[in-house]
Amino acid sequence: MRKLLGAVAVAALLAGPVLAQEGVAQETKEGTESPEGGALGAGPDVHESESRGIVNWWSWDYDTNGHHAKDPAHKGWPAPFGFALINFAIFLGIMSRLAWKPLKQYMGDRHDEIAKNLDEAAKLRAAAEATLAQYQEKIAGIDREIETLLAQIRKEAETDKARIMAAAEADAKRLKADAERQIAAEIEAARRELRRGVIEAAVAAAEASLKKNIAADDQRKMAEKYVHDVELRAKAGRPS
Amino acid sequence: MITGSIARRYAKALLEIGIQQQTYDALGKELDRAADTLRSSPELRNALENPVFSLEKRKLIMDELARRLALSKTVRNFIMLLLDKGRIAALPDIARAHRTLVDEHAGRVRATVISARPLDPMLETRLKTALEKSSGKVVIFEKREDPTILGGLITQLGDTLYDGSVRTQLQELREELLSE
Repeated sequence: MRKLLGAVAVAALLAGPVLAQEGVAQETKEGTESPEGGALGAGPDVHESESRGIVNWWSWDYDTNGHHAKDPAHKGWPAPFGFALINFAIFLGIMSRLAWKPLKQYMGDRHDEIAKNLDEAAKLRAAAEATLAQYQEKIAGIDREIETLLAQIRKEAETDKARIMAAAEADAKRLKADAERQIAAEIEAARRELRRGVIEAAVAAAEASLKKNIAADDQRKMAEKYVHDVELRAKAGRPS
Repeated sequence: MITGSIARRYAKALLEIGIQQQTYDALGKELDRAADTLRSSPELRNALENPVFSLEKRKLIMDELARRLALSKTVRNFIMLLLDKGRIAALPDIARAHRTLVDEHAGRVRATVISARPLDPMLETRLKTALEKSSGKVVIFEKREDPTILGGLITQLGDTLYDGSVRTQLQELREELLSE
């Protein structure tokens, strides 16, 4: 690439006189009539040049672009066109020598890169089309999938519901059984407490009644019975 | 505090002296009198047991008490020995143990009879006879009245209890009803 740029620069330098020659030729054609022949024997050529518009093939005595011709006849002549052609030929040679291969290489690389990019683009396109087809297929089957999922979710929900209901029922039964046991225990405890209270009250009432109502005769009868029992045990040979 | 075995040892020593002198019953009664006096008088108990008073002073007090209670020389010397050994506080326990040993030696047994009201003499005789028959020993009655037993009798004969009180019957009835 660097070589290519260098070649372009050299070509520009060499092409300057050619462009100048063309400019001067136009000026001469539009202004004064062109004089005859150049300094290097360009008589018939000059006429031919006049007829074709080229007045200076080989003379370095020209008068343009700040260069003043020594020969007054050359006043208004442009730079020599023949050298410009040689110059151009050299330019083409240099260009072909220096710039052809890099340019060819560059163009080849560029071609390969573009071809590669095109291949990649084609691949990407193919992948995108495949993905698109895949998605289109999925979209086409999404309703069926949604239905399947909904059915599965409904089934799982029913299973969960049945399980939760069974667990809740078991818990309720257990709680009920616990509550019944607790109630029964509390009723039993209350019953026992009530019974104890009644018995204590009855015994206290009996004791109070006995204290009040046991007469001397009752005491004597009880003592009599006691002594009789001791006598019986003495006969039997055993203590109370 | 004196243990039962020590009290029994002192009592046994005095009983042996009494057996030798053939005066164990009399010695026992004297010992009971001295123990009752000591039990019923906290001031006397304090004077005899308190080490603040010298042993001589305590012996003087005990000597005076023996004179007033008309204690024999044997019992007097025995109590002085208790003072010397610092065992005077055990005198009631020793008297009780001596009484038991004397009863055992004499073939007697003591029966404590508790009644709500005074016991009819005829029933008392019948009870005594029955108890003597069951124990095989002469029974000495110690009667006590306790109205809280409501009615009936309670007899403690050695380790055996004859409980025919109304209070106990009521208690048994209460326990039976509660256990149902």
